[in-house]
Amino acid sequence: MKRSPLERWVTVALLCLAVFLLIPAFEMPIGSASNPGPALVPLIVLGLLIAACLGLLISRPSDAIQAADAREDTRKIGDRKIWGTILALGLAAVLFEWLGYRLSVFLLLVCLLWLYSTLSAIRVVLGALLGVFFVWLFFDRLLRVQLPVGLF
Amino acid sequence: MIDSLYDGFAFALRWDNLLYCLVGCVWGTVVGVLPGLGPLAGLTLLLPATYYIEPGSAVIMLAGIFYGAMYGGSISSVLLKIPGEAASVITCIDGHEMARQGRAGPALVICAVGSFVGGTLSVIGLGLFAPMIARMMLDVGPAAEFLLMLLALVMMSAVGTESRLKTLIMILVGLLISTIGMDQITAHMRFTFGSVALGDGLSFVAVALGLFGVSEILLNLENTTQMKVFKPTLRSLIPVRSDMRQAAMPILRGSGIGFVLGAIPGISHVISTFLSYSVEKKLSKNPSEFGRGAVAGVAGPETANNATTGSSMIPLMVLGIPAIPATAILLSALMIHGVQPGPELISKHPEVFWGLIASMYVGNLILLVLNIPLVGIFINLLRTPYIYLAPSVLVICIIGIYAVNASSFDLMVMVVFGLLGYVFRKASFDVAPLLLAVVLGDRIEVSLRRALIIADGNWLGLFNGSAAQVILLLFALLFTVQWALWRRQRTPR
Repeated sequence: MKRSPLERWVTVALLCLAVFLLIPAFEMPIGSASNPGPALVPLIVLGLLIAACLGLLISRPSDAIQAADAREDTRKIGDRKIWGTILALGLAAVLFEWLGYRLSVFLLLVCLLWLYSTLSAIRVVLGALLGVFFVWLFFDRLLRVQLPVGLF
Repeated sequence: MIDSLYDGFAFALRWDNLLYCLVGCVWGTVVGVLPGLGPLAGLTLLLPATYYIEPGSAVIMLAGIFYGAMYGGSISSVLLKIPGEAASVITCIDGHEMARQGRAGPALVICAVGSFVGGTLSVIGLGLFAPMIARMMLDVGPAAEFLLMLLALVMMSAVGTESRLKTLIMILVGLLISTIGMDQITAHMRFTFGSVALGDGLSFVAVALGLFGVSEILLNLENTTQMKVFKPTLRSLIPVRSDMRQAAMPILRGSGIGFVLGAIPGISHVISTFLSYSVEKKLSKNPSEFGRGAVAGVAGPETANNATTGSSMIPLMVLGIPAIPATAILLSALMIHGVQPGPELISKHPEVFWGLIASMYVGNLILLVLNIPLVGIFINLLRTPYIYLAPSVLVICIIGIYAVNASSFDLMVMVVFGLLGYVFRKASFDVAPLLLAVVLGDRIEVSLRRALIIADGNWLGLFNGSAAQVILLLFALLFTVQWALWRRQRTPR
């Protein structure tokens, strides 16, 4: 049995990344034997990473690993909830300072509750407002954490 | 030492520190109980709350979360057959079987007593051995420091639960990530591609929370079915005398195994629990009972788990090497407060070290006294629908990460590493070695380059000195054991 497709894709992606990063690594000063420069460790690590990725691609997994992979079914990746969560988190991260923490947290909670639950729109909004209130109370008032106010 | 310990108790028994210890223990148990959180997420989520308190108190609270989570993990293992954190996997086997036989109460009490004994004995060991090792480490140069950290990473690769090659790849990716930003010796920018935000490197806390917190939630979202929870009555919690007699020796052996393995950098709790389980099975007069609710199968591993927690503080405090990702967060918290873990920690910040030791005695007692009567409350937590828990945790992650550096770039790092962690874990790559390599990467590089400068570019000069030669001997021993195991696997039976 071969390795799972996802495992191979991840290994190939890491291999490509390592090869790509060799270009900037070679542009760094290498220094001398008695005074090594900033390129030394990145070049060693990238070389080993390329070798390890190639080794993983050509090696055959042990029976135990094959059995574990077969049990876990590593081929399927993500669904509407997963990708929706990543998208919502990404947007919240990008807009956090601009929109401010209250609006960002509110919008994030609306998105996540809508994605995960079958609650009505009003309950989703009320749940998100409750979440914003707790964040304000705990982090802003109680812990005095400096959070961005943003537009509002 | 007695005087220092007395001072430590005076610090730990201050009312505010007792409160921090209690908060840490309760919060740790909560995150340990809830599948999908665990000690790392628990530590990171409460990290912002420690910015405004003194370093010693912060460490007391964070350590409370750490060992509280280790105990909490056993509750969901016994009652749900779902480990709250990785080290409790082995408790699922016999602990849950005991629960199915109507003996959930004794199983939980044995876990609590084992955790208390293991935790307390390991703290005694920590107080005895850490100062000795610290004195020895003061004479160690950069070459031995480099070899020691390399040994920790190699050890992790050797004993990892996934394939060794995959663990090695994760370590190398972690080392690569640690090189991003300004070089510490020459101030040369590496892999920043012109980005100012990347100049300081990637925030360790953001990487950790992405890899473990966010990715764990994404993985759990794939299966949000509500599970059946066993609810023991208060009366059924009392174990019978025969249970305690059967648990006594496994608890003592588990304490020894957990303490010794925890003190070795690179060995995780999972290894000590599995080793304790296999030792108990080998020593048992009735090995067929294992897997069918054997008391020793619960007592040994649970004790080993908590004993490892105490002794894993030795490499963290004395060498500055975190054994597992959760202790890496503790390391990060110490550094945020301006406390540099290492051989000089005990002399420079005695209140942090001895206060931590004293608070661990107190914390273990708090866990024993609180958790048995409160088990009903923790069971009710297990009934919280994941669809409400996940958004709350994600929001706390976002606020917590922003609070560290007031940087939205860190939020993006967390999301990217959340996605990467999810993909890596789906592809059966263990992300724990990656995180530890990120933590140790900077120090490995600096010590290697300093050692090469001292040795005038002679790589063989790295092995001069008795400390380096002892570490080299350990490398040889590790490779010999690995080679012997590999030969045994390949020999046809």
